[in-house]
Amino acid sequence: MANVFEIDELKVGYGKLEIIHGVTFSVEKNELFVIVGPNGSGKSTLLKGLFGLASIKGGKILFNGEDITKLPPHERSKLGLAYHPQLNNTFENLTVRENILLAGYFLDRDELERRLENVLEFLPEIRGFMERKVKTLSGGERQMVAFAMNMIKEPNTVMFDEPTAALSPKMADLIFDRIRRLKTEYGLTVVLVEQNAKKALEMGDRAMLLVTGSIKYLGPAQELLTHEDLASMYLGLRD
Amino acid sequence: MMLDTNILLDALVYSNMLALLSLSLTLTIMTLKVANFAHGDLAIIGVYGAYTFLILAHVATYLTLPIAFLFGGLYALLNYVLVYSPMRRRGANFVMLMIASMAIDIATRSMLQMYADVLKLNFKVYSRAFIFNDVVFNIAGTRVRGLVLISTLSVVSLLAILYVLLMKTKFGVAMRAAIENPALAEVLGINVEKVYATSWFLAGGFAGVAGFFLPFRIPTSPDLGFIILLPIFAASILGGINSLSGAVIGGYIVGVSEILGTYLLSQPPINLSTAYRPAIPFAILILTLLLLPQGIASLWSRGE
Ligand SMILES: Nc1ncnc2c1ncn2[C@@H]1O[C@H](COP(=O)(O)OP(=O)(O)OP(=O)(O)O)[C@@H](O)[C@H]1O
Ligand SMILES: [Mg+2]
Repeated sequence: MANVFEIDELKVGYGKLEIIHGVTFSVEKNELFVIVGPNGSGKSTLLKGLFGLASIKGGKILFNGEDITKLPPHERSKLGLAYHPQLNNTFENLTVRENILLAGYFLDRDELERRLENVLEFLPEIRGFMERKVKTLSGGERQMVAFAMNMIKEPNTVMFDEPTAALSPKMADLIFDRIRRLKTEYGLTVVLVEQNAKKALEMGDRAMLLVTGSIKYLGPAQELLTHEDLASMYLGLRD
Repeated sequence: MMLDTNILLDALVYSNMLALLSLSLTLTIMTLKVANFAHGDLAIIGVYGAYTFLILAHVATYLTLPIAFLFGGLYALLNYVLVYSPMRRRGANFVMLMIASMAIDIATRSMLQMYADVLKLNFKVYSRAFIFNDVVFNIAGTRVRGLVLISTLSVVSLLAILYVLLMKTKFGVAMRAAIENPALAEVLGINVEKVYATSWFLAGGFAGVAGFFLPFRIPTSPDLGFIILLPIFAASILGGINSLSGAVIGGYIVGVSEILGTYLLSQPPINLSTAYRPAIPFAILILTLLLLPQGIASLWSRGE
């Protein structure tokens, strides 16, 4: 069985505060795994825990069979895990090119050039604003820059934290489309946290519903979408 | 009343020093968010380093300029590694760091006082209120005081080096990134500690160079670092606290206002005592905070 993540009784928090109260789940290779839940339920905290940015209070994280529970973020990054933060995911005062090059800080020049070409092929919209400072970009354009910063590292697994928050429907569709292609064309594993629950669940394989730091549902994504009680109670979905 | 050239040149020299000091103070503020009350001391450490070398080696005074850079830089690096970095990692806030810098200021000046005694006893030289003798360069028939020439060249070349480092090198991009968002820089695998330590070394070096020029203008003593703090802060705040270019321009505005202002106010009909000199940077400081709290950098960065 090829599981990318094996998470066992994981507890995550900040300082003395425990936010995630012992969750157990796994993410399969090449799966699009969706995490939904109300504001403040701990979705971002869970991703931060998986990337090593919030403190682990208990439990265990296996990533491709390796125990990464205690590894610092840059070590996890070396194992092919990438994280797309919800906020502050780009450097505002640097140009788009500088942001992307910075993400590839450890690559030599030729390798960087080669990867940059690939990234720009995948996200061609970025070509139009490579030399602009990020603070002059729209929200959608910034998300694409953050996306590109992760792609330059050629990861095997990407965790997105609300990449479509506050975007126009058209821009959100574009981002969703690229996320889907990561899975279908590039064979990556994707963990996607989304407020835009309907769209995310429609394209996801399996889903988790997180409420106040505990799992309320874990199973096929489409089933959660049509689940009478849960969908209307926690996600504001009905049809 | 006529301003003679000497006053204008003195204003230039003083402003050159102030620009380096406010630039370096701003660099440390940007990395660590600390109002460093020991910043003036870095200049004095630099000049005592150069002076010591001068006593030992009997070379031309200007040849010891790099020594001043080295001493200022290493002392700042030491401050960072031993005090500020551990405090940062433990989550110290602005006030705690500021108080630490006050302690460093007191410790540094006491240490310099002791060192001044050591110099005096061992080498029988003036170790307090010492001065450097200037030389005159002859450039294409024009006689230029060394201080005017070298201080201006130092500012121009140090600014050029800093610009190239920050804007044209990979390390510079990482440096700007680590200053703007250390958490994200860390996620990307950038060694933020190394970047900050480098910034402190450079800042200390710049301050040391500024300090080197002090004894050409005024008698230099261990306590001078605290006395020059007010105009440095005024220049940095006028520049917008978070802008390197603002800090340099702020240095020139404060420097020129201080020298020319003091001169003009001491002339008839006002005849004010030159003892009121610190009132000028102080007034600039207060006016900036009241009228342009984001500093002059906000005038050109707003539209970006
Ligand atoms: N750095 C922090 N320190 C302390 N508490 C935090 C921190 N970040 C988040 N929290 C708290 O943790 C809880 C979960 O926050 P989290 O950001 O994980 O929720 P979320 O599900 O991502 O919400 P949203 O949908 O609004 O992004 C909240 O109660 C929040 O106040
Ligand atoms: Mg969140």
